[in-house]
Amino acid sequence: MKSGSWSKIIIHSLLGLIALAALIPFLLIVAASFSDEMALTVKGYSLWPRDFNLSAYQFIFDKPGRLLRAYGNTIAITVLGTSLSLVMMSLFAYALSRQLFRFRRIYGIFLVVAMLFSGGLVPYYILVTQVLKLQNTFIILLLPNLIGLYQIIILTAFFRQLPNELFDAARVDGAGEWRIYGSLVVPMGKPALATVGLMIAILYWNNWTTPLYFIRDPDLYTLQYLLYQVMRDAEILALEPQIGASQLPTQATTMAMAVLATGPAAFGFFFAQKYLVRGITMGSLK
Amino acid sequence: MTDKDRTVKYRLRMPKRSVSSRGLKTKMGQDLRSRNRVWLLMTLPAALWILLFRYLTMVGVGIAFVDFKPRKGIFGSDFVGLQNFTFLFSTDAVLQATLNTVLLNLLFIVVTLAFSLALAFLMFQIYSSSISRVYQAVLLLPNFISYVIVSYFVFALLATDNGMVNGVLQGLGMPRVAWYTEPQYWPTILLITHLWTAMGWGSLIYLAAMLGIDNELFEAAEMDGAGRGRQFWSITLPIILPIVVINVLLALGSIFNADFGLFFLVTRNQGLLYPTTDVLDTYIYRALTTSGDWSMASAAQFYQSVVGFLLLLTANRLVKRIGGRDRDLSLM
Amino acid sequence: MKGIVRLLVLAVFGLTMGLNAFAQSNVLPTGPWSKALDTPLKWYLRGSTADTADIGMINEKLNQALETRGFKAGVQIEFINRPDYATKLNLINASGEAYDLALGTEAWFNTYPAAVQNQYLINLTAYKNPQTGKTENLLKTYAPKLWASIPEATWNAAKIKDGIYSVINKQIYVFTLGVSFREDVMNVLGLKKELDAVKRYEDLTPIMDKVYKAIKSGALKGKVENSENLVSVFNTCDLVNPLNAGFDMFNSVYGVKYDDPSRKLVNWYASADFLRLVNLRKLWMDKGYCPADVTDLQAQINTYKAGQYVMDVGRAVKPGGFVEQGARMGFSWYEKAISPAYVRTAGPTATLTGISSTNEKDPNRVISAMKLLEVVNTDAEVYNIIAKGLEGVHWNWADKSKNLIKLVEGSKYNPNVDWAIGNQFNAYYLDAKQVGAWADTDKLNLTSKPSVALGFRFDMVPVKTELAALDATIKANADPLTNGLDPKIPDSIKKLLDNIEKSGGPKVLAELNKQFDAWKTGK
Repeated sequence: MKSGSWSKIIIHSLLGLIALAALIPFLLIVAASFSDEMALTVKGYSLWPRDFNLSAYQFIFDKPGRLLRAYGNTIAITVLGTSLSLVMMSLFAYALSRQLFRFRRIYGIFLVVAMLFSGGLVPYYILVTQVLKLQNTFIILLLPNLIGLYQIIILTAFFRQLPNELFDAARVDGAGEWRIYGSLVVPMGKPALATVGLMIAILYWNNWTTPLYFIRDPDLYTLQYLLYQVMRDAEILALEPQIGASQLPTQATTMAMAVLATGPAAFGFFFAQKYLVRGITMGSLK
Repeated sequence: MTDKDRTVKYRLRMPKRSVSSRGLKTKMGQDLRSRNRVWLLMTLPAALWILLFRYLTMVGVGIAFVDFKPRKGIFGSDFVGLQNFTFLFSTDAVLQATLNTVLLNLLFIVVTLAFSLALAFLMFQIYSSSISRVYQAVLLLPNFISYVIVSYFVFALLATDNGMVNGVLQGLGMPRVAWYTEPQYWPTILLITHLWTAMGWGSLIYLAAMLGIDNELFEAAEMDGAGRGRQFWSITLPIILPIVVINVLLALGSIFNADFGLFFLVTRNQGLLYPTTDVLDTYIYRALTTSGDWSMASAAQFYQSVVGFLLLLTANRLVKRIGGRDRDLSLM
Repeated sequence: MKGIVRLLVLAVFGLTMGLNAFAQSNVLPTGPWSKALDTPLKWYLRGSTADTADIGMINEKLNQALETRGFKAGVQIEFINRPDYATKLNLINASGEAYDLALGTEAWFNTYPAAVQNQYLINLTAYKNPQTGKTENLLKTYAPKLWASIPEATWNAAKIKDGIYSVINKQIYVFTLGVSFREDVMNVLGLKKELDAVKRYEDLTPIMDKVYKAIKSGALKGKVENSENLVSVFNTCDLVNPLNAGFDMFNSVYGVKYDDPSRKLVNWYASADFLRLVNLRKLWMDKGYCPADVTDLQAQINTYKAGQYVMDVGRAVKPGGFVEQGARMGFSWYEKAISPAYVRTAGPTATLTGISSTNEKDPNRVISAMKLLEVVNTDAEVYNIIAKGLEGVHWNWADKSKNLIKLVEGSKYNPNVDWAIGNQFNAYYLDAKQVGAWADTDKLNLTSKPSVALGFRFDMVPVKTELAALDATIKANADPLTNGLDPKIPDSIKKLLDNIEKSGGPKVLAELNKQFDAWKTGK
């Protein structure tokens, strides 16, 4: 585009500024985690560590067991859950996207009604603890986010727009639906699958309510739940009298936990995003 | 490789067969039955999940219509019709909360849309440079942070004594502001916080859509002398309209549901801010914690989803009517 | 293709990690316990699971100790993390999950009135035994010593609709509010006599002036740190609180004065005391004595530890409390009570232990649970096993004659929730300065005047809608006044009262009067 490098500079500056603004909170948290607790209290947060100090991290790494286990759990759940979810949802969405599918209308209503009426927390709790008896297991961490109704709609809409002639041609040549799904729909559906996959992965990664309701074994804690525990516990302990209590997590420690909980994930995402974005925008650059 | 190439390659691989039209019909007939079977099979895993986790629990909707006594169960409790719903309309406070919910969500939808489109368009312009990937990744990062942490650093920014914003204000010679006591600033504050998480997604999706536009169109426009702005309104926007509409419609469907983390945690539940920040979800949460009344909470949930859905239906119908003859933009 | 392979590898890795996917995780301890019941009694307590790692050992030793005392059923205590307790108990109760005992509170979590309303708890004074068909008073029959340890008038505070549904965990009932003053600052400025002479909150103002002047003149350098931005030296300033004026409140708006023989219902926000305290608060705020923000408590504690605050106004004052204050916030504190000492309805029921109604069809379990509470609340040795741990393993005697112990470093059992378990006055002391505090507290409880409304319970169900709206109105309109931020006090009070009228206040008052009158005549 010949509009000139001038406008390019403007655009880059604008985007750069916005990206920086998006980063500021991260910098605050990271800086706080490396700060001295008292300095933090007296002088407040800033973009740069106050009285650079590693005590918060020392405290955590003194007993790293909880954190490492939580990491392992969360990674396993996210990877397993997202893959399973994508398979289940895309199969469903593909079938639903076919005009000739006999149950298309019924399933449409099936979906809409499910989205409309939610039973609420208590029946859900009863279902898991009394009917399925899955409390305190690994698998309950996978189940709740396995299907996303909005995500199914997105996938269906996308699959509906795929060129039907291609599929018909394949059918005429004798390809079964499974074959079509595997060799045509999935490759062509990469943008939608990548997008939905990312959404589901983030849902799994950030989920802290499922452990709250169903998990009592500390070995099954997830990352966000552990973080929530540490933070809220510190606030509550501040209210109650303590004599000879275990060390109270400080603000800096909480921030350090936050960094450790989100940092590596953010980094991982950073490197993976190349494939991800390519997936989402695939087939677009000619 | 492109769709075209794939089609060609595929055709070259498979030998052509000639079939009589009548044979084709019956073949397609049987064919269709077996294909339907496969399709049905494909839907089973997800359908089972939905049945289990959504339909089996749907009986809980009944809680909204009875005087729920947990020991008696849903069917043992006394039926009270719509009585549990009356509290949603009976006092100023709850009506204010409802209004806040709708208006704030509307504000969020509109501004997020405009902002995401603008960002996407900017990134589209410089897509060839490698830094654009960095921008995209950075914008998506906020999604990894939970609202608990967000509330901490919003406080770090807005604290009266030591907050960064007040520090900057003082440096500029202006008086400090006690942010957590002034409700009028908060729609903006919450909007910015929401935008911070939402703009990454929005811009990515719209960017992806934009990248799907045939480049020739832009080149032709360039030659005709159209500037970037003109290109946006005449080419880009019309083509990606389907995705925009889907996004907006879905957002409208949940307009009665507020993001609890945002409105409760970030505002630190400060009563002074209620006039502009109290929403239906936070109001119900407080009512539930004090009274332990499941019926009220269930009624509120029912109300939120039904009204939201009706809104979605109406908007959908509107879109169907507005959409051009050649394409249907609606969701269903 | 490579991407898919990579994904598969990760999936397999995840699968191997999740191989125990269907296996129940074995965190709950089991043991060869005695056998009067099919499963041991399940007791939920609120505390940190990280701090109570040795709970298995405790359960085992506890059951042994109980057996030697003739208690035949087994007990299994389970700690639920503090942030989760409210939600988890809510769900456990609502879903009808079986358990036997759990900690509850008046208004904090697992709230008592709501629990009774929802029929989660067994009526301890009128339990219908399905085996014998008779109605028994569990408290009097199976827990006579526990029943006798608390005066009947106080038990009445836990009475809801002719039944007592939980055991009161004995601790301090009397909520006197006052000031906490930094001892070192007090000594340097010679303020002890003046502090002791303080009778009302207004008397504090000249003291605060003195402190402020001293800080500005540098006399307290090295003792009180103040950042450039921090103006206030007096934290909390929780002044505008009905407890400070001797009110016994039935909800956020209406109550009676504890010593009013006519027992007239009053709107707190329309009272003269409210106006007086609001004005005082505003005065302090204008002088810069109170902080502008309501920070979260963790940050507050840090500011104390940093030595920034000198005085705390509006904190609860109790015998031996200054030790806890010092442990929490560093330094040494001198406490002085200012508000009147009286026992209000919500006082004794601050912490309770209830027996779940999920097992009400099994009288063995119910009676065993009641007997367990009798033992825990009256036998100091058993109580302290739960509260402090095992001698030699988790703590050692420092001075047996004074009931003083010292915790073992790195002990794996330190729940620190004495009041959650039972009679707190049986707990061993952890700090020498605290010795004797229990006896003093008990005396305080018994000698303080009970409120004229002690025993009355407001049934909120008929006006629950209005109450929700009222609460929202109060929070929005009263907070500026309570925090000393409102410049136009008379106008704002008027607006607040108008809004109370509009949000259903009159309806609530009418209902309250109706119930209160019925209770008054019934007495």
